[in-house]
Amino acid sequence: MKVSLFQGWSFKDYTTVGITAAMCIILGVLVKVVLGLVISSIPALGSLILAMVQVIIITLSIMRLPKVGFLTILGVCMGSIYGFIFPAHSFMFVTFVAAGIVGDSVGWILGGYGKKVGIVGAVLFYRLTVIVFGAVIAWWIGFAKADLAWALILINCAGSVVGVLLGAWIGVKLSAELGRAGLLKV
Amino acid sequence: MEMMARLQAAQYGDGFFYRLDPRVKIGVVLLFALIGPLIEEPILLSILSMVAVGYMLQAGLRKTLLFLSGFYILSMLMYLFAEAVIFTRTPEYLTYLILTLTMLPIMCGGLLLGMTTSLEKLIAALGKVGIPAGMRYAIMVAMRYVAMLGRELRHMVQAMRVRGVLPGWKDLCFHPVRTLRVMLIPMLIRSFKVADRMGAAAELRGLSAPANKLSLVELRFKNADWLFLAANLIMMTTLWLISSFVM
Repeated sequence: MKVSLFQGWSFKDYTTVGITAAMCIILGVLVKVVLGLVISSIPALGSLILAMVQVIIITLSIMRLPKVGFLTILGVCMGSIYGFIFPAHSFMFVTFVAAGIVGDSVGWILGGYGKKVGIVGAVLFYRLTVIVFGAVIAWWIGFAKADLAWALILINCAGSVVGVLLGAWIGVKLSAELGRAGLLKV
Repeated sequence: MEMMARLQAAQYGDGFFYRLDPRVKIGVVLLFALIGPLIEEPILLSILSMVAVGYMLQAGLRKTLLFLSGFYILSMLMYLFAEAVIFTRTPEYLTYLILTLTMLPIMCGGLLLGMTTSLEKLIAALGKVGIPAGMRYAIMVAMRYVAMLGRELRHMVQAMRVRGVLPGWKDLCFHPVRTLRVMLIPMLIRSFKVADRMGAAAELRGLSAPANKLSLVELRFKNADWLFLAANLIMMTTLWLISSFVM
């Protein structure tokens, strides 16, 4: 019986991805709760902060487990929780899985997660897909009937790009400290 | 985090929805999500929302329903604030009502699945629909660790407060990178160590062994499952047909 979906993936790797998903979700909720009013008042700021915080975690986790397929499994885990537990919006499952597949494809095209450019490119496209796919689904539900929807998507994408670049930069800086703790090979 | 812990405890209740096969609940959630947005008439959407709220009440999820109402009131206030203050224009109340009525059944369905299905049943159901073992394990770890991470974070903040190194708002505003480092590094170190331990435990228990594994939970479709799924399918298709061809 084939146990793992991807070649060379062990249960230890799946655990790392699962825990990364949990960290991203908790930090996402914390950011939204702590900075809720500020984020809702300035559209791009929410995407920027959320992207930055989640990308730090994802970048460090990918550096620890540089295997293509990471973002797809992360998308499945995060999508399962966001889609079926809270906020229980089942379209979010599709959004996160699609984002994971796009991110992994970009990472693979850019030479895998062994290179920093591969990691940054993958997480950048992962976040952008979450926003664009989320917007397409919002359009399907009917949110696009409100004006300025596409302008807001563009602003959010711009915020995400800045957030991802900042997050990746901080992530790379922090990787040295995790290396000293013996948890990361840098 | 507390909510996640309470949620996991609540999943073991007794009642019709707790006994339903998780695959049926997943099917109903997908029906709500796929057919709901196709219905545009507020009256029909109200009927669908009432059905979803009825399911929640039948499952005894009154507190969750109250929480959901609070969420909608808050989101409505945020919408009104954004329209009236930021964009300085008259809010479109009807559009907002339709959006709320479209979203309500989807969220009720998801919450019903999440709050009336134990993790082992959900994982067994995912196995039955063909999700690979490794991916199921990752989902399970993520769901369990969300509750656990809350406790870890609380302990971390308490330890920092005792040592007098807990960053404040001023640090977050003027030294965001340093603050993030102080907060994130201990959390990451703890989490990665937990990941190592859990991964080693999984390997030791033989989860990666190339053999067929049996689940403690045996899922089988019963008459009630088929009836519930068929009733929902008929109801939603009828609402959609009335919305498309009659109204």
